[in-house]
Amino acid sequence: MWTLIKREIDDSRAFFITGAAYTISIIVFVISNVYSGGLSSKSMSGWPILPMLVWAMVLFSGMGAKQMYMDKTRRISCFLSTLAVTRSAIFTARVITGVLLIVMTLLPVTAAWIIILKVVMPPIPLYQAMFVAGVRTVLLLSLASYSLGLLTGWAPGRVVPVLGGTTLALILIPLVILKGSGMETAVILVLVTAVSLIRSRQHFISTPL
Amino acid sequence: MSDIAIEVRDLVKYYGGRCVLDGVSLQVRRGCIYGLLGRNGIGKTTLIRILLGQEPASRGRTFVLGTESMQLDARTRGRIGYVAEGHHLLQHYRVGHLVRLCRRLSCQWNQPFFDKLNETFRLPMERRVRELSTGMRAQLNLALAMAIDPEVLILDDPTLGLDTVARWQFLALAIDVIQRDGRTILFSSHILSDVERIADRIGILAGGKLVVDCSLEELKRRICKVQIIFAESPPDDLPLTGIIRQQRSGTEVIITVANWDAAKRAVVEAFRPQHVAEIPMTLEDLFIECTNPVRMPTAV
Repeated sequence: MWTLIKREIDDSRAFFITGAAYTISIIVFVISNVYSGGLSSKSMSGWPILPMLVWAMVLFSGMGAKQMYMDKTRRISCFLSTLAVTRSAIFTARVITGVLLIVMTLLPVTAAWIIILKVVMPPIPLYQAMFVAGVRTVLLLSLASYSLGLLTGWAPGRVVPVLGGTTLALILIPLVILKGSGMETAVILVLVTAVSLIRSRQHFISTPL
Repeated sequence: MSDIAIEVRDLVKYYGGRCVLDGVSLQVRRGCIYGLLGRNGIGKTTLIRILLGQEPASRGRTFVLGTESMQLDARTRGRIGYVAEGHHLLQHYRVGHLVRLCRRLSCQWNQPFFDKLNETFRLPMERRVRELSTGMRAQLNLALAMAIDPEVLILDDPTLGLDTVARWQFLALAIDVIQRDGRTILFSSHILSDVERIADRIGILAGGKLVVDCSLEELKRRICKVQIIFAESPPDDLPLTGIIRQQRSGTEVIITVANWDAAKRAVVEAFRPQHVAEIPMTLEDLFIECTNPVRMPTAV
């Protein structure tokens, strides 16, 4: 399994580099804001949260779509399945790699947020609960975007694999804006992720290679 | 452990409403080199892909090493070597990288054997796979398939794109592999002389059916081309069963007939021909006779 994951990481190097650049740029942005204008809830409300979120969704859905689309065009599974590997293992390794990208991108950002919020916000449980809900929503949104990328990446043609995942992922953002980051949103995102993953796996395993 | 390495049971495959394989059944015993022949687009690659679980069957079942194709687990897959038609390797990988990947993903990797193959083929480890010629890709694919010490080696037109020397090297290697105890090879090829050289059993696909499934010697014994010359015009119809093909030219009739024996010869002799002679047939002749679309349907 490790070899398959390593192979997936190798093939998606560009996404990991972009993810790292994204993380670094956010952290640099936050630090520079802290040093230039000080830190307060008021100044933070002006931060470009939405573009940050959109970039992350595009990155994660793009990763999923790219993994499946490249597999199809380069016939990667067709070759790998002739070795001591099952298609199920290929898919699992792929998803683990995707989750790894999400964690590696979001974890430093989340850590940075935690530090900043500890400095800025008073230790009121309500704020902490809001922060946890926010992180949970971003994480689930990322997983949903990635899963939608996987789902559309295996579709025939070129337009749907390239643009489908990102479009669907971006549709999820208004949902989060409208419904907030409560449990309802979490349930919807979990369902979207689960359904996309199950369908992608079933499609990937049953399609002739 | 079963004596059967590959089994196909009443396999049917439809492609867009067209029946490509129509009730094909065959068994390949362990240690056998099975040559699968057939014209282009007749379903050889489809049959192989179904065997490997890359394609579902419309009906029927296929087994490799006792496991149903669609349920092949990683361990069983690791005992099967496969060279695909067109050599679908990871084109964007460097050769060395691909070799390392295959080594890590194999259940057993015979490094000395791979080194020996590499010495023969002189694979450029630093070049990308897509930069290799077709012949080199074929050699790389063969080397990767053979280095895992497969119990079953499935080769789909493996010598396609190889020059004569490389083809002969490949055939020598195939014989080397088969000489290891219990190794089985199923291979399809258009180069009949290759098949004739190494296969000990032949299957010929025609019209979606396996019209021939026997040893080469048996095939040569069973199908016979007979030249019959009559003094006057030949009879309109020779009352023989198993006529695959019949050509007439003046007083001469040439028939290709299945299961030619003394009884059939006696039937021909009853028409008092001037001359009856059996014409020796090569595998190529036999293949043409068996796959000719105008032939009369006769299972051999």
